[in-house]
Amino acid sequence: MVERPISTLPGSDSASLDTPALVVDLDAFDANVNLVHGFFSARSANLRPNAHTHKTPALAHRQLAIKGSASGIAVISISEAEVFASNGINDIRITTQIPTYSKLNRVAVLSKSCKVSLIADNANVVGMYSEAVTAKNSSVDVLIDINVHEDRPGVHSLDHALKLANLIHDLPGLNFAGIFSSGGPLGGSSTNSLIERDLKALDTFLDYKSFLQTKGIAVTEASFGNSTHNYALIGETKGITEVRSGAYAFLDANHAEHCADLKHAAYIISTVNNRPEIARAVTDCGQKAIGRDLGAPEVLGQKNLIAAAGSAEHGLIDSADGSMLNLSIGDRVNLIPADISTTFSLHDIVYGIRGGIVDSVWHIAARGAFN
Amino acid sequence: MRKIPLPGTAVDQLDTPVLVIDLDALEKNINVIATHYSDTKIKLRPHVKNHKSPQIAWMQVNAGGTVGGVCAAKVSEAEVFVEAGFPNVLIANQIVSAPKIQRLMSLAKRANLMVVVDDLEQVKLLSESALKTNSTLGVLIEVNTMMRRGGIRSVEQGVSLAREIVAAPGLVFKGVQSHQVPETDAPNMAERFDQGQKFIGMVLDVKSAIEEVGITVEIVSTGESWSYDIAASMPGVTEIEGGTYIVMEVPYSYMSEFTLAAKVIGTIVSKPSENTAIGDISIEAIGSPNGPPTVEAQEDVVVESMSLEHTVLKSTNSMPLDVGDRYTLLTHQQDITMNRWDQYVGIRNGVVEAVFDVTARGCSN
Repeated sequence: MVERPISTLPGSDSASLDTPALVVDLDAFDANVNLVHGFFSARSANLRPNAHTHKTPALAHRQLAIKGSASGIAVISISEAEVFASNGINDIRITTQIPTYSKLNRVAVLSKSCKVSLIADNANVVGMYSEAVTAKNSSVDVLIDINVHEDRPGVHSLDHALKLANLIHDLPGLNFAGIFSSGGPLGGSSTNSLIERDLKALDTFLDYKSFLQTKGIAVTEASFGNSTHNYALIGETKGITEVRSGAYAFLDANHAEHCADLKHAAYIISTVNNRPEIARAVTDCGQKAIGRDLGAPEVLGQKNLIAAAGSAEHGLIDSADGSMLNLSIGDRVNLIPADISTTFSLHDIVYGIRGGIVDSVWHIAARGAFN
Repeated sequence: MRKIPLPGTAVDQLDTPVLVIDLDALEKNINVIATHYSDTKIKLRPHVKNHKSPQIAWMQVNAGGTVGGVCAAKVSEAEVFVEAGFPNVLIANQIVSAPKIQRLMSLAKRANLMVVVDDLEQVKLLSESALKTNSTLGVLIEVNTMMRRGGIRSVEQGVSLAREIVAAPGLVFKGVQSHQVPETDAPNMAERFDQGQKFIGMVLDVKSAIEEVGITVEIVSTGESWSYDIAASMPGVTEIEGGTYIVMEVPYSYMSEFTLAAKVIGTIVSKPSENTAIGDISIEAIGSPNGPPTVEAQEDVVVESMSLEHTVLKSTNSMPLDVGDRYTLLTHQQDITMNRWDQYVGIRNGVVEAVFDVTARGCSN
């Protein structure tokens, strides 16, 4: 229900944190946020932090306080939206289509106290949106989800988009706000092939915008997401109003090769429990503490150490060349997760540290907010 | 996130994604073990890292066939189960950091606590703290048989470590411990028995060698669900650590006496093309370090990929699932899935019967 780390007071040495501990290095976090938001503050597009990545209201507030941000955050579920709204965030975009009335009733309630925007690619669902919000005398913004990658949701044709835009425009309680897309996954591709793919996707995406505009429909917003690896490319494209990104603030291992300008800002501190073989150490950080669904972690700043194997409760550190490991029982090892969102989804508490001192202890309040 | 559906709610009314546990299947699994070990000397020690629920652990212990205590992977898990009244907890892991050892000693004053070691350094740390806090801690030697994680690598190492433990103040040498998984996927009965006997035989070799130098070995704790019936036929083994059988997982289906009890139900949120459907179960809601989950009762539909937001489902023919339809995913690694959720929604015949906490979720300290 709630993990039970040993309570560590702000002001303590980070070496006193019990492990495995999820920490955010605030100097690196602030540097990433200032860099990326600084880029957007000089352009017409804004950055909408994808708060699903950290699920932590305190971090969302920290992001939104920096110039260059959009007026709110993106999340993936109504229950995440509820958590962030109750923690003082008042503009929330839910980036999954919601085809059930029980959840739409919650959206309608939330929309009375918070600006809520939804996405859609289906006419029946748009009808449900209208019905649910008008029943509560409320209204929501709706963006049309445009498909630019085969394994993502979204409409595939200009005509379909036009029909949906007209429907949203005509139905009570709905404001047609514009278009939305989620780009594609990283999928182990090279930076160059991602750029090529993303440029094509952007062309497709913006074709929808021009088409709708030629039909006399105002497209206020054009929001493109999954954009840590290409925030600058997307952000300076004319016609884009908003870039959604989450991992930019932390730089996990999966994004590292594509993002030379960002710093690793979140990691797990683990402890060596065993030294059973010359070239192998066993740590207390297994899959349940770091997550390996989207790849294996890396050892922070030590390319000669490999953390590729590991099981539910144990992590394994091997020396890359089979030589003697310079690690003893009780030593600490910092691990960069492959995917930082997964790691946040496993913890209830994240520690903010600065200069080796625990600065803050934050609740990952939207952890487990799946439904 | 604490959001509890009312008992009596129809399963198809639950907001998704949702983790449900089929109580008929759970009870059946518990009953297989209770029956198998009803009149054997060897008993099962339920591993609670799998379900993290004191309520389920009490169901296991009350059904019979167990040692009456549990096995845990972490100190924080052990705390949850000592609080829930279990008199005896074996932590099948090495504990080396000072604050954790302090917590361990505090627990050892309230329950019969045991941990495993594989290095003299751990023995020294534990003994020092036990002495300082006037606690007594049971200690077992972990034996590596095939996992290549913790565990001594030779019989001689085991014997010399046993001598050190016997000599260490505050510690009581209890025996040997080991964990194994099958070397091959979906072994048949003969392969399974071969492998189980080989690995468990290695643990018994260490036991005999320690006994030969005059040290009593009270506990031989080994195995997992896949070897429950093998260990029972090997004299010298005193207990089997079993966890996977409780809710089961797809790759374990060769153990056909157990039934999949935990599932994640989702809703199709988009159908971007004729043979593709997108569902609302994210990779974070199920976890899939060992490959994509299996779709229940949809022969033509497979999980193509899972992202932080969605399941991508593909169909060989026209996709039978539409926006708003439900789908069910079966986990390939149950304990990873259980650790993502705060509640079990217990269902029977399509209706919610009980909702209870995954109390030790997130206990990785």
